[in-house]
Amino acid sequence: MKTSNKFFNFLTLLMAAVPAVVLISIIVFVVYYSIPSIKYNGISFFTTYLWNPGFQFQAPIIRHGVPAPAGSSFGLDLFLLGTLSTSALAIFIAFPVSFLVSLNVELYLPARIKKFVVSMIELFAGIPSVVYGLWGIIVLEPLLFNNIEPWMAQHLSFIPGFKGEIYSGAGLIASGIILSFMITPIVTSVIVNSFDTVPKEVKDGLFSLGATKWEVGKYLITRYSRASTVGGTLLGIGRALGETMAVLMVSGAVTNVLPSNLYSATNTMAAAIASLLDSAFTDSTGMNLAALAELAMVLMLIALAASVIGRKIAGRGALRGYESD
Amino acid sequence: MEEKSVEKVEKVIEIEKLKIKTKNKVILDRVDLNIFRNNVNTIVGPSGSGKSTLLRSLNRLLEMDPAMEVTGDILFEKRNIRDFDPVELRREIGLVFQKPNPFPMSVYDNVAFGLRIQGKKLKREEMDKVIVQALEDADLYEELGGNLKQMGTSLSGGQQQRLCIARALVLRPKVLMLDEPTSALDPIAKGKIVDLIRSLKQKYTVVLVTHDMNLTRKVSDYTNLIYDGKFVAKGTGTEFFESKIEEVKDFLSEAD
Amino acid sequence: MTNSYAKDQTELKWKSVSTRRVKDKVANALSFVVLGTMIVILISIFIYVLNAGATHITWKILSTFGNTSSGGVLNAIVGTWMLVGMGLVFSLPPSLLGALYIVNAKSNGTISSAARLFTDVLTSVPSIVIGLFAYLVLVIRYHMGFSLIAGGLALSVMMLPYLLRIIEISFKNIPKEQIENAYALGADDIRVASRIYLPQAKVGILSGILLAVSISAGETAQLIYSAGFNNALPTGFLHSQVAYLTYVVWTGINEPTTYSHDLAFVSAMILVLSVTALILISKYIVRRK
Repeated sequence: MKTSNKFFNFLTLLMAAVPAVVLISIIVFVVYYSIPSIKYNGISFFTTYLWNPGFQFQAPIIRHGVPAPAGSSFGLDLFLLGTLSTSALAIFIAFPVSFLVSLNVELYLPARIKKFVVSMIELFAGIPSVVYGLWGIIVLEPLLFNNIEPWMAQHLSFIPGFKGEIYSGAGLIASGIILSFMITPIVTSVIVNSFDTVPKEVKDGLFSLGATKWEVGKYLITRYSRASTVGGTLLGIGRALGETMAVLMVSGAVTNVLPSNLYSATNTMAAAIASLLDSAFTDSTGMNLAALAELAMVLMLIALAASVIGRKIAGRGALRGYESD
Repeated sequence: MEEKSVEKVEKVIEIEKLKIKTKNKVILDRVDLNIFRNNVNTIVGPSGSGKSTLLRSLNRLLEMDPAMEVTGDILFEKRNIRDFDPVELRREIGLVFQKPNPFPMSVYDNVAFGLRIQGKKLKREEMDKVIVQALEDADLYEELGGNLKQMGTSLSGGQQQRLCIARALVLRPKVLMLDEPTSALDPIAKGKIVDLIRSLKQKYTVVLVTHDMNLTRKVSDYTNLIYDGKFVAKGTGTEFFESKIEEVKDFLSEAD
Repeated sequence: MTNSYAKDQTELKWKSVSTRRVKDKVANALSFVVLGTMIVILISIFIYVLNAGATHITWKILSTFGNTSSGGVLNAIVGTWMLVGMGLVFSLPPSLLGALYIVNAKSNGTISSAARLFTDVLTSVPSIVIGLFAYLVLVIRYHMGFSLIAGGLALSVMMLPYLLRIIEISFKNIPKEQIENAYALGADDIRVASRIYLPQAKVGILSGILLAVSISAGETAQLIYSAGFNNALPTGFLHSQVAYLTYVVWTGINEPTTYSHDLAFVSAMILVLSVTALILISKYIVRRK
């Protein structure tokens, strides 16, 4: 073989390794930068919700051999709670919507319109998250604050969490809604794609046994394409967990105050990293940066787990398909 | 094979002036034919002559394709099929496709599927009985050695085909339509289907679409030729093969 | 065969067809309503942003440099495309060559599937984690400062797996015989890559690039701490901050003055129009093929 070809093949091998190198270096560096925080905070990082940068102009405190600003405190509970609750609300909205939309697109919608609608849903996914955030601030928050949340507080107050003071419209509900807009297209397109891979013979078989469209759709989503449904949902959750800007804009970005009801301001791990990094620069001990790195490490772990499991399930579903040919 | 006179046997399905076309192509035209109860009614013809389309129109599966326009009348037990809910019609008229299409689930669940959708809930042991019966009717039960937990998709081609027949039989249809049931099978599996079709007509009315004249000779009670989208000739078992009609002679010589 | 047909005595009772029809109709109606609501919301967001932008757009905003409370957004428009272009420079070569490795039948299968796995996992890293990584490692550790290079690299981390996957798929869509024929005629890998893979997959590659560009033009979290912000254009590739549109949207809408809001609205409009146009063009070229 010619040298040039050998060199070319070697080059393609090197380049195929780039994603692995990038991923591993992100993980390694994020863990590396977290070490001071892991040493200093230990388990309390997971057991407190207070996050204080501390006082820059006092002598640093040293714990486990690591210095940190006096009065500082780093606990992720509030952010973790916010991440989980906003994502949960988002998927609570997005899943049934995606289910019904895919059902409609696949079975009830005339084939001519289907393509157009699917492209439209894809456009939904393409809107930048700051634009959703902007719409959230200008349109959604006032709507929640003036109309929807007062109504909920008045009429649904018998449900725990629905009673109480309304703050600004920013918070869990706004974040959950905006996130659901962002992940619905993802979940929907995974389900629709898996529908498209169902062989026509199987669909014919279902119908010729006398199933209605609803019965066919229910079977396909919950049984035949269950893997893709679950996988797509987990992918959507992964996306919601890691979404930063839109949530940063409509969550209220609160620190140190736990939510007292559904309308309280909240914060998420991703949004907290974005909003706290600014002030972390000024910490001469570096502990603020280290704590944010640890926050990033935990966030990455959760988001990667959700989407790796999602991909695995969805992938297995694709393989599990139709073996007769 | 016992000869029957056309007039005395009860007609289950009557097709009158059926025409099926898409925007720019006529698939079937002027089809008038009858399906007789507890007989094997065979529809033969060269491939592409619209036989499968005809079957799909009988259980109204065809209307799910908006491109297809159907005119003319099809009566099922004297009632126009348009007056049925398709769901009900498809319970009465089962269809088994050319390519076996078991669902990716156990043999048991495959057979139970139609019943779970269409039927009221049965007790576990009743359900078991009904499913075993359907599998026996489809001549598959013994061969599986009672192992109904295996995946339907893991069976051999011939077994899959009979699984699909059992899946249709479990709804106790009045008519069972088989679309080229032997085309994808090896000779041994073919032999089994021939025996099966003969026994099925004791309980069901069978509509068989095929271009396999050997199979037709072996099982058909009434044979209909669809040639070039048009219904051309019909006859009982032996009559048909001795027909003087040009198209029949042409088709028979080509098919053999 | 003599089948005795043991009489199955179990009586079958059918579910009411009309009840099943009602369920079907309800599902039909409900799903239409949900789909309709979703589309109405999308269109209303769309129209809202376009309208808000169009109401406040002025020639001055489009043609002058500024920060998020005064001047215009020309620096942010140009900066956005510079960052995206930089991201493409860093991500396109490895995605093209990496995809060639993955689809090459002579490659090591284990390495190929590992590459694919890492690519998939990389897409799931939250963007702010990439942003933090870019700040800690590129900006500080490797002394790039807030800059085009740091911002472009941060964007490329997101573009790389995306491009690689799309390019891999378009390579795979090439008929196998063509590739086998080329090898049979004695072509080496370079030739097969340059004569078969690249020309045959160029539409797929181009549409992938357009989609990757459309996504990265809308990204923010990777850039906040790698590109910074600049009231003018960057003066070099390193140590010179870059403005971008998503920053103007995010910061402008949170500032108190109406002029800041105007800048945010105009930037959002430009973003939405560009992203939509890119997606539509990419769909168009794929369909035309």
